[in-house]
Amino acid sequence: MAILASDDFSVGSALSGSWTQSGGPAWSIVSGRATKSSDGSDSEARWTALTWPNDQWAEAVLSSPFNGGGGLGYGVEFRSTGATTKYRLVGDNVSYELAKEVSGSFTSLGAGVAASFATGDRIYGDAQGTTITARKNTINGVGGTLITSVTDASIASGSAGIMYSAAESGNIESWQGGDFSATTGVITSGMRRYVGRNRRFTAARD
Amino acid sequence: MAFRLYVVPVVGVGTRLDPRRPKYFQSDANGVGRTGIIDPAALYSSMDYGSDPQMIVGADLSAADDTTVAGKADVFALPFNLDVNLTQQQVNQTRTRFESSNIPAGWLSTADTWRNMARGVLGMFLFEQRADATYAQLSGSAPTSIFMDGATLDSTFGSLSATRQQAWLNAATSFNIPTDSMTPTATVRTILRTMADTLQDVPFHFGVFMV
Repeated sequence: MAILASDDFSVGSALSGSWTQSGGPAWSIVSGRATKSSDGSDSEARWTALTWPNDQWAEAVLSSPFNGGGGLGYGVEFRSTGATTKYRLVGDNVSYELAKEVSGSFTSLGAGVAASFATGDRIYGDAQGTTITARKNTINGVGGTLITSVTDASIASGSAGIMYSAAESGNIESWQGGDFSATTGVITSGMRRYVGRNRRFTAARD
Repeated sequence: MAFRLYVVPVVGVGTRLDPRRPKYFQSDANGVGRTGIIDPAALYSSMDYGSDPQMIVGADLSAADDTTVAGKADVFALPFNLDVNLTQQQVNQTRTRFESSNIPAGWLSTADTWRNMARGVLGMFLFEQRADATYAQLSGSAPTSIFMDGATLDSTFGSLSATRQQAWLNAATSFNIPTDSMTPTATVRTILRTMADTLQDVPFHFGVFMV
């Protein structure tokens, strides 16, 4: 897992130029958190400062997620090309919803009260090939608890970003996104020494 | 209880407030007005047949919810054990159910297990998902399926609109599937089955379960 982009929303009062957003009023940054006015709209912002690989992930730390109904909340998007096409995962203090929007047609892929979020929880979504996965409390895209995993081939590419869906309150403390390439580095662990270069690992005994 | 696959109709018009979703499987807890009949805490996930009004849902329901859902006249519930062969009666019943929903099923036989059947059908679902999305991109409209345009399983590739033909070609190419089968006289039925021959090998995830 490699982190390709991140934002802790600690600078300014609006999203930086690395983001491209659509839907409703613009995102704002308040007290170091990305937030939207509770205007009942859907709004996305995708990181467009790089060209994303098709296999990608996005993770956000939520703050004060609260809603009066399901299918709403703050979260992440991935393979997004804008307002009408993306995979999206939102959650609140009651429920979650993993969904896809394909040229404006909205399909719920999985939803329910089996997963909910509180301040400090991380919401994570990824797309690898035709596998779409939602997790809770990953760290830098790793680990966490599986919420659901589905197979879907509707959307092949796009960008990762953040998502707002008519939440009554809440915001995003930080966000990061990445791909599934192996990180380059040396890891020493017990009896074996692994050296990673360009996705290849060779194991050699110490 | 145990993981099971259900073929169910799609409800919802396709907006965020009224999303396309599997009938019976959501409740108000998932969104105001989404009337389902199962426990909202139940874990499930679904795959759609592109823009067509059918979904396959994978879920581990309680015994009571399973009985309720499987008992619905418009639900086709696969057996819990996918690794048994279909009987001839089951082949006939499955063919009738699926063909009426524009899902090719003439290829089924008693040599197939339910898992073979499921993977074959899910492969067609994958292709239709990509093809309908590609069509939407090319046409600049909301995604629709060829069946919504009036085509049938026996329609020929050559009878589809030029945009639709290109969408199917692009979809196959995006999966690295050769497009040789997409000849003017090839039927929709044959092409979908050909696409599924390759796509049925992908891992099909339904929550924590795989088919």
